[in-house]
Amino acid sequence: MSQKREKEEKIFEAIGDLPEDMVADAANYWLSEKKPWYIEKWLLAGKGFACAVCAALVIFWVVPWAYKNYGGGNQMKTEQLLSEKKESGSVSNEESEFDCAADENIIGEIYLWSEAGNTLENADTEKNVDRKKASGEKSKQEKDSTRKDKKIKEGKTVRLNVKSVPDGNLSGGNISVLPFRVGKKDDGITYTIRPEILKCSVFSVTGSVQDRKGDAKAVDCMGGDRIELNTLEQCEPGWERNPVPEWDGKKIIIVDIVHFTGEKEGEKYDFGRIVIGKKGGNYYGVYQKRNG
Amino acid sequence: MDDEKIIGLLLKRDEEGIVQMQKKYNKYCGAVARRIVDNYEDAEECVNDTWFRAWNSIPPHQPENLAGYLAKIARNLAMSCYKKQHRKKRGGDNVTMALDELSDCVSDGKRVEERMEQRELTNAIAVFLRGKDELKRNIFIQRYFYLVEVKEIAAHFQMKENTVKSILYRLRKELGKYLQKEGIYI
Repeated sequence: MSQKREKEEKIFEAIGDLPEDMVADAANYWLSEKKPWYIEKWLLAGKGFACAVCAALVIFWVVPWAYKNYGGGNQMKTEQLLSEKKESGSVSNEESEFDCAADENIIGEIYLWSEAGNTLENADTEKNVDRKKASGEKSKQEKDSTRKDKKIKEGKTVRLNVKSVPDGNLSGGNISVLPFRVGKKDDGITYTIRPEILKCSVFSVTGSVQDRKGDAKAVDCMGGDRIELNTLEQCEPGWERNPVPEWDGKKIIIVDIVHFTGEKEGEKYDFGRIVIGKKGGNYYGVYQKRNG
Repeated sequence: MDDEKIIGLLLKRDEEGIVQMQKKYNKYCGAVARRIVDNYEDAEECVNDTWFRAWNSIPPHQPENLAGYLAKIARNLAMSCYKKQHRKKRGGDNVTMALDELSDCVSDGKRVEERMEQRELTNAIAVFLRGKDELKRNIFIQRYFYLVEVKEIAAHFQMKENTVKSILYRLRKELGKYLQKEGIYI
């Protein structure tokens, strides 16, 4: 045996005589009772399952809930909320959608609308709908395309659509307007829209008579005309009596109250008012008809 | 049963002590032996001899740490077995085999000086290892006492293999220097 080998064996044997406590300490993990492998597997699988459940809860419940309650407002969301309400029966089909062909006798209703590019298109389409009423599916599809406007149900708070439009007075600047539609085309009523404290002036009227632009204290328009209210600055809350008691505690700041009146063949109508409020970047409105 | 009770039974020459010792440390001693000898049966024989040696040595000896004591017995027995196996492989002739058989009749052949030297060497290594942190000490002992593979040590301590290798390399170098400093020349 070579000398080197002998030396190696000497050290090896010397290591074999190391103190017992030192030897035992190094092997503690051998001596400690290990859990059976299947228990470890089950524990691991259980942890994985718990994580998956948590992730699913966050993705499918927490995120939609947070988005629904704290997300920004848009037309899609308003429509979704309305459709949910419709499914639950709180809003009937007839009231939630504007169908000019079916609602011949409705006057003085106020609708939310959006999509500036659709303004004229809608008017044309309405004519087409009348013309092609009996021509089957094609006309039905076109009629669907007119269903952009949502009627504001009395007493219900709705999130208002906000449109960004170029301001004629400021070169290149944009302003936010709240688009509405009042009445129905050819209902024969001349409507008057009057913001109470001029925080929401009438920015534009688009419709059958003549398009008008520029902030105005009060304007007359015809049924089916589209009006845009300039949101301007929001009002400091200074109402002696809250016009919308149901907003108490919801931190909605009231911006203005817009009155809708009308006249047809000498007969005067008061269609009520819309109270417009703001919370964060969202505008809310509630339609209140005059009692009696 | 805890170690103190087992040692108590062995000191009283109660055979229940062997039963309990086997029950508790059979796997452990088997693992120590199997890392040194390849053959499963030889390893089993080493383990059985371990109980026998422990039974014969307690009393008078009273180990402070039963697990370490048994591991040392199992390791030494397995090393003897390993040497025998390798001698057979190298020679394998009748004379070598007869001499090997006769080696059972004589002592381990070490002179008193050699025994003293080995004890001194063991003490020096022990002092050196006690000066190291627990992790390094355990890695060294697992590798050179229990002969655990580097890969397995790395997995146990959740380290990279190369890290374990480099720790062992440094420890070897430091041990060499330490032994020289202590005047132990092998």
